[in-house]
Amino acid sequence: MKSINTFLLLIIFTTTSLLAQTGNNDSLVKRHNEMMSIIMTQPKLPIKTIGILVYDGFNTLDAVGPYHTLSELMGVKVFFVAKQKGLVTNQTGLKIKVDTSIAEVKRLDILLIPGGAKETFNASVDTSLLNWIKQIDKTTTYTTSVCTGAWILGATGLLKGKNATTNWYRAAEMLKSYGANFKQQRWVRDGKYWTSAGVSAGIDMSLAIIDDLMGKKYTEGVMLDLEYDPKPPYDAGSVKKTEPIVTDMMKEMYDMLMLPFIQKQIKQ
Amino acid sequence: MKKIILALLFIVLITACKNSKLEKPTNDTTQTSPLFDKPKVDIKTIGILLYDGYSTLDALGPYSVFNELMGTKVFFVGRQKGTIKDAKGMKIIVDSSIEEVKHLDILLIPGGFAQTYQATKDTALLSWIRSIDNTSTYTTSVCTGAWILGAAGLLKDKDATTHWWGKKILADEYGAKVKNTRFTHSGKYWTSAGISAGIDMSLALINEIRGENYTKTAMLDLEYAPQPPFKGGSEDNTDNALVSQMRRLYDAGMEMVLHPNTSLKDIKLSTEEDPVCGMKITGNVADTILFNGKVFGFCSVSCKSSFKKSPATFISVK
Repeated sequence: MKSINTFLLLIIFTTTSLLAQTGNNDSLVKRHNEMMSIIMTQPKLPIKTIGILVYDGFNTLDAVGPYHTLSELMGVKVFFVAKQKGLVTNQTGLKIKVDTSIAEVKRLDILLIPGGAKETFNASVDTSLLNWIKQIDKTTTYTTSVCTGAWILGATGLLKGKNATTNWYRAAEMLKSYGANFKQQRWVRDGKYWTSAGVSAGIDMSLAIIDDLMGKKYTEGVMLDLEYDPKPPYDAGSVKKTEPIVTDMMKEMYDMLMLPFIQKQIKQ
Repeated sequence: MKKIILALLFIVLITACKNSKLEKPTNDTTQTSPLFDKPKVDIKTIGILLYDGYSTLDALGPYSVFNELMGTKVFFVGRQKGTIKDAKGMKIIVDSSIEEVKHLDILLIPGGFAQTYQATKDTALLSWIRSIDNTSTYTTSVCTGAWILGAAGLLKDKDATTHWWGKKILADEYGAKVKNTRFTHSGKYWTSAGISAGIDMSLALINEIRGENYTKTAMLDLEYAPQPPFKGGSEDNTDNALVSQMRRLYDAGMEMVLHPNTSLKDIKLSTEEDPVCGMKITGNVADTILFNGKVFGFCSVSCKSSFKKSPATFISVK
């Protein structure tokens, strides 16, 4: 559904009109005040802009899960940033029209870097992109990545000596190559650096960020708007919970596609 | 990562061939796979309907999940071709319009709010949905997308679900038998609860079509082992007071859809959004303020008063 912002503010509008009509109705006033106290919770830290970096080949849900979730922060502009303006195509053919290039963005309160496969590795050796990230990082309140987006973040040197996580595929080796310590968790926070496990984990990390900024009550409202009460068909979806035959084959597959690109990186 | 699953099946095929030389190789890799069940039904095309104002994750959650189906084309079908904007302003370029799509194996209709309700009155869209439904294997909706499906007359007397707040409309206006479940199905009609429930429903459909091991592989690729920060997200596990506050808020929002306040709509504003809440207010301005030579519009008196207290919190003040 449309972002909670809209709903929350719509009610303020209507409640205000109701108040005007009914005069001093105590319970209405009380209810209105209760609502306002949730809606108008001041964030722990002021967050006005959230930029999601996209590049050809990005993984859809890595970017769009957090885009939708973080858009539930009221009064915050969440937008996509790409190396060049114009069309950016994800790994399965989705075309997003991006209005902002990295050259135009000088500061962000939150930067989020989604992952992907070989294009993500290519981005991790793109010096001008890495320089932009390092520059933006000086201005951010949080610098974050989802899935293999941590490869790009790692390549900037910003994860050196830090705890981090990424997609399960060769996670420890890849993070080690950037000087980071792999933690097998859904998401990891080390100072202002937040990293999440693969793809769908970006949603959980984004909710945790909202919880950090706005507190539990607000986050519960967001979860209710998103109806985020997941019921996966199986208790699976992580290495720990999946049969080795499936995990091993997946790893073999990823190797077939990715090893030619990342081999040098792992050996470093 | 469909490529991965393709490659995976390729290896599975090789392994299968190595293991059983007697077995005749067939063109269908999936049939020789020891790991995956044979598909229950053949799904070649999945179309996700997009219209301006759709809710992002309603469409893109299932889009990501369905892309795990090998040999299936998953694409967007726009109410019109070209740029379609989600509820938050993300622009997707859509190559196919409803006029061009005559058949789909799976149709998925995402929800939203005001514009979803408006879509339930769009007769050309509804007849397209009915015509696609004539030949589809599954006809599905996420969140308030069920309103559209209901308006097409396809959910009458059927088990269905939608976003927790939208259930009353689904039952009252479209005659569905509303269920309080994450997703439900009645024959080929699958409907899910709000927004994120589309992910679970798509996985359940993959499970239905391809079985357990395939689904677990897809879940591992998506690393779908959700860990919400705390229990919640449903009506029955969230604080009652919060649920009823949220309900009133949606009610009010819908009231505004039905009877928009138009009194201030002709005022020329410097920005399209309310600077406090970020909401688009074109046509729905409750109040305005002149600040630093700019006219800002507000969706409500409360936003205006927050702005007046501290403009610098909301806009950059030079």
